[in-house]
Order: sequence, then structure tokens, then C-alpha cells
Amino acid sequence: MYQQTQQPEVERTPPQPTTDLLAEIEARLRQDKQATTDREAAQAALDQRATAIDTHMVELEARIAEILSANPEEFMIRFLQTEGE
Amino acid sequence: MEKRVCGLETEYALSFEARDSQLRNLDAGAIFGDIEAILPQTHLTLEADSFRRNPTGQHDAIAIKEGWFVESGARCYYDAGHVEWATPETTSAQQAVLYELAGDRTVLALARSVPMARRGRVMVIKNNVDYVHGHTYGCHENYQVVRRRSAREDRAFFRMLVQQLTPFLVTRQIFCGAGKIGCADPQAARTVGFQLSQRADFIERELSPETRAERAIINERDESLSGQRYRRLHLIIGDSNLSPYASILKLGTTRITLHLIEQSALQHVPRLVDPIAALKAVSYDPTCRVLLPTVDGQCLSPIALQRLYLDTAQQVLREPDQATYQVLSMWQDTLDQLERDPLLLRDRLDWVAKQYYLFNPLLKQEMTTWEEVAAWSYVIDQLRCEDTAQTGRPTSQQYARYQHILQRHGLDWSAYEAQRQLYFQLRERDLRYHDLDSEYGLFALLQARNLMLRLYANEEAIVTACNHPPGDTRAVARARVIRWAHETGRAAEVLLDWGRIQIGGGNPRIIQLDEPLELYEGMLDSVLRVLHGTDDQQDEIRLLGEVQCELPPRGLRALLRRFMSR
Repeated sequence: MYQQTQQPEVERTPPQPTTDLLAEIEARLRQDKQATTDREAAQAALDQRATAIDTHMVELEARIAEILSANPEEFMIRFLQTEGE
Repeated sequence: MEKRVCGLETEYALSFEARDSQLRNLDAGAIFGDIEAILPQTHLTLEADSFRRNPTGQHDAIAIKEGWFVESGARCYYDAGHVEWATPETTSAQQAVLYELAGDRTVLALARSVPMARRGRVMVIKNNVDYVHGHTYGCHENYQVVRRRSAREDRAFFRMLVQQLTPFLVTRQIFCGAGKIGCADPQAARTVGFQLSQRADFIERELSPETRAERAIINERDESLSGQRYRRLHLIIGDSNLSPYASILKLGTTRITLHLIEQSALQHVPRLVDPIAALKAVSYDPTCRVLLPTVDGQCLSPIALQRLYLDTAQQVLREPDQATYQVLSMWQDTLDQLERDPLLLRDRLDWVAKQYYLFNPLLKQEMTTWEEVAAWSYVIDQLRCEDTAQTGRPTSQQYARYQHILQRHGLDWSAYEAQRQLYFQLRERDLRYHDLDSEYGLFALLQARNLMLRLYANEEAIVTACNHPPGDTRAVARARVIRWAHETGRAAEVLLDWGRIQIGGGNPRIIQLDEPLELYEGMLDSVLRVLHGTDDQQDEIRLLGEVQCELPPRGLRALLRRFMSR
């Protein structure tokens, strides 16, 4: 549930939520670069063992199937939206 | 690069999933009514008041509710059947996306709190299309652009802006498309099973002021919402991104391109022969290698065109600030990877992630291809229009009518049932990707499994962005007035709009927020002190030289005379 917001004190200069934001994104990107290299290496290894890839995707697919509705046709045709903007 | 504000306006699609898992239609207007009742309990808010700037009654044509500004400087309102959230003014793509995430989180929390949520789940889908009527709704971008001095120069500048920005916008879908099943264009529908962009189908013009019809690559609506020095470039072409990486790229590369245009650094970028045809061709091609004819006789791929912009940016922006440097690196990395193999970007681009994790495994399982899916989708669409949805089975006349299409693609009716199932499965997966609920959304699932890059892992920053404005734009002033109004119990005396604050009951002061990059601290200090104050403190009104004031003219003139004479 949504947390009730405390009544904040009046502040002259509100805190900047972006402080360190760029540094954090940068760290994530750098970390990811390494992870991508590792992943590509792992993928190359996995490519030689198709069964392992299948297992990985089968697990994901199983979780997706739990989320999806039993009747996709019903889901799609009931998702009706008005023209926006 | 000079500072400029930018922001996003997102229209959310709401639907209701009952406890029996059946989807039900809901009245988004009624849900917004509930949201309006809850929002002031969970946030410091003030009612938005934009009708004064637009008193022409245009609002009557479509359902619009003004909604509320919240203490982050953002605004929540209701527009044409959708709950909409506009971020506060921000000064970088990274900051804008932080506030986009804060908006997602707030809207989701509000949807969970409405009374209807006790009977099931109010789904918040952040996408741009439904698959029944093919209705679309937007994720609009706003960018501050400095006008040229004379009206004539400004018109010429805008023409140049349109000319040089168009090839960029046509091709940026290769990294910021959200991905969509099928195609609304009947000419292309038989061959397009999947496309990069949700919005490309709905863009019909190069330039237009419209948003609900004749949508354009560049919207030419000229409503500044700030001083006349600025134009607010309003883009309605973009998709709603779930991936923050894609969203940063969308906003960040567009900001850089605008800077290059202002620096007259893009004269060499060729114009496209047919931008609308090119837009669709790019969207239909997941290899990103389609060749686009240019007026100077070249044929360039979308990646090559994007590289023209990136190369220029790298030459012009010799010492970029940190935010710009980050976007430049991401831009280069993305184009490099797209060139190698788009699937390498499955952990950061929405359209690639959908294709790789959600759609391709299904196609593999059914031992079919996108070409076959496209041909079948066309036939199934036609059959649905002819109202076979009831039985799901075509009649003998329909068999005969569509036989030639299947034959042309080497298909036969034996696969009909399986393809019909696939048709709906693909579309449900597409819609579910955009579900913001972490328990039900497929993007959220991929992110939870570390299959999508999580750039904003700092929960505290997102929570802070829900309640605090960016510290370097006029959103600070808006937020401060909201807090002041609640502290003093004078909320009823304040009228807020993006570019204007009116405070005071019978004796209101109006502060025009003409400069989006100003904080208006001194001006607000003086006005708020006057409103609190004694006669002596009226001295503070000397700053009203900067403030337009709706005091009774005689009183105001007397006061100004008093201080002018000092």
C-alpha cells in the first residue's frame, strides 16, 4: 500500500534527488559492461550446449506462463482503451 | 552544452482484472475521480489551473480534468480517457527519467488505493496502443528551445529545426522503439509481424499541430508555458519506454541533437526523400539495415544516419558535462551493438527484449516465422472484422476469400487454430510487458531476473523524486508554494499553472515563471513575507518590480511610487 507522506517542513532549498544519480548510473553501466563481457563469454559457452540455454529459457517461460491469463483472446479483446492525447 | 529543461507526459492505460482473472472495462474518468480524492491524502498537492491560460472552451471537446500539481512539481491530470502524469521540468535526460519512474510509481500506488482495487486489480499499462480498436495514446516529450530574436528569424530557425531534426526522429526508433506486434497499415500488414515502434503506425504527417489526428513527426503546436523567449518543442512521436536505458537515450540524444541544430552544426545531414515512408520502413525492419533514400541521392541505413548525428556531436561537444558525456557513450555503444547484432541489446532496449524473451520463444515453440505470423495476422484480423470472433471458425466463403493470401506465403488452413492462438498470445505478452505491477509485469519480471539493465537501483532516489522537485528548475518554486500553502492552511488562495503562480485571496499576487531555469527564490520570499506580514513588512514588496501584481491598481501604483522614489 502507498505510504502516507509526512508533512514536510518548509525548506528553502529542497534536496536534489539527482545528487549522485549520474555517478550511480555510470557505476551501473561500468558494472554492466563487465557483466556483458562475462555474459557474452558465457553465452558462447552455452551456445555449444543448447540444452543449457533451453533450460534457462524454459525456466523463464514457466514463470511467464504463471503470469499470463488462461485465455489470451479474452485478455486482448477486453483491453480496450480510448484514443488519447 | 547549455542548460535546457525537458520533461515527459505519459498517458497510462487503465484496465481492471477481477479476481476471476477476467479483464473488465473500467471508466478511467471515474478512477481518476477516485485518484483525485486520494492524491491530496498521500501527497502535498494544489489544484492545477490552466483554464485561465486557455479560456477558449477547447477543453469541452474532449474530457479533460485539470488535476493536481504535487510537491515534486509534477502534475497528475485526466486527458481524453487516460490518467496522465507530467514530470516536473528537469535539466538532463537522466533526471527526467528519474522523475518518469517516480511518476510510474505514484500512478501505480494510486491505482492500488482506489476503492475498486478491493475487488481486483486496477492494471496500469504504460504502453501506446490497444489491439482491439487500434487506439493510440501518447508519451509526449517537451524540450525548451530558445527563440530567435525576430519573428521572421524564428520562423526560419524552426524550418531549419524541422528539416534537421526529422531524419534523427525517423531513425531514433532503432533504440527507443518499444516494440509492437503487427501493423495497422493494411498495405504492410501481410508482411509485418513485428515492428520496432508502437507509434510509427499512427504518424501521418511531417509537421502538424494536431495530436488526436494527423499526428506528425514534429508537432508544431507553439505553446510556450514560459516566457515568449522560449518555444516548447512538443514531440508526440515517441513510445512509452519501460527500459530506463532506452528512455535516457530517447531524451538525451534528442537534447544533444537540438543543441547541434542551434549551433548550426547539422547542415550536412541529408534530408529524407519521404520521411513518413522512411519512418515506417525503419519501424518494420528489426535488422536496422533498411536503406533510406535521401534527397542528395544517397541511401543510408538508420544506423548510418544516427552515426552522422553522433559523429557531429562528438566533434562539437569537446568538453561535455557529465550527463551529456554519459549519453554520448550510451549512444555510441548502442549503435555499435546494433551494427553487430541488435539482439545483443536485449538487456536494455524494449523492442529487443520483447522480441528475444517474449516472442521468439513462442515462435520457436510453434515452429513458425515472423513472415508466417504476419500473413496469418492479416487473415485473422480480417476474419475478426467480419465477426467470426464468436465462433473463431471461418466460413467456407471466408476460406475461399483468403486462400490466395495463404497460398502466396506457402501456408494452408491446417495451421489456422495454432496461429490463431499465437495471434492472441503474442498480443497478451506485448500488453503484459508494459504492466507496471512488479508481480504481473513482464518487463518487471525480466528486470527482477537481472535480464534487463537496472540503472536506477537506488530506491531512495526514486522515493525522494516522488516528493521533491529537481533542484535546478522553476519546479522548485511550484513545490515551495505547495508546501507553503499547506503549512499556512492557505491552499484555497493559490492557483497554479506551469508558468504562473497566483497567491492571495482578495489581493492576489501573480508570479510569472517565465524562465524555466530560474528558482524564483527571492521573488517568492518577498511575496510570501508580504502575505504573512504586517504593514512594515510591506516594504518587502520592492521586489514586486519583477512580479506582475493584481492588486487594486491604485494601491499598487502607490506602493511602487513609494519605492521608486527611494
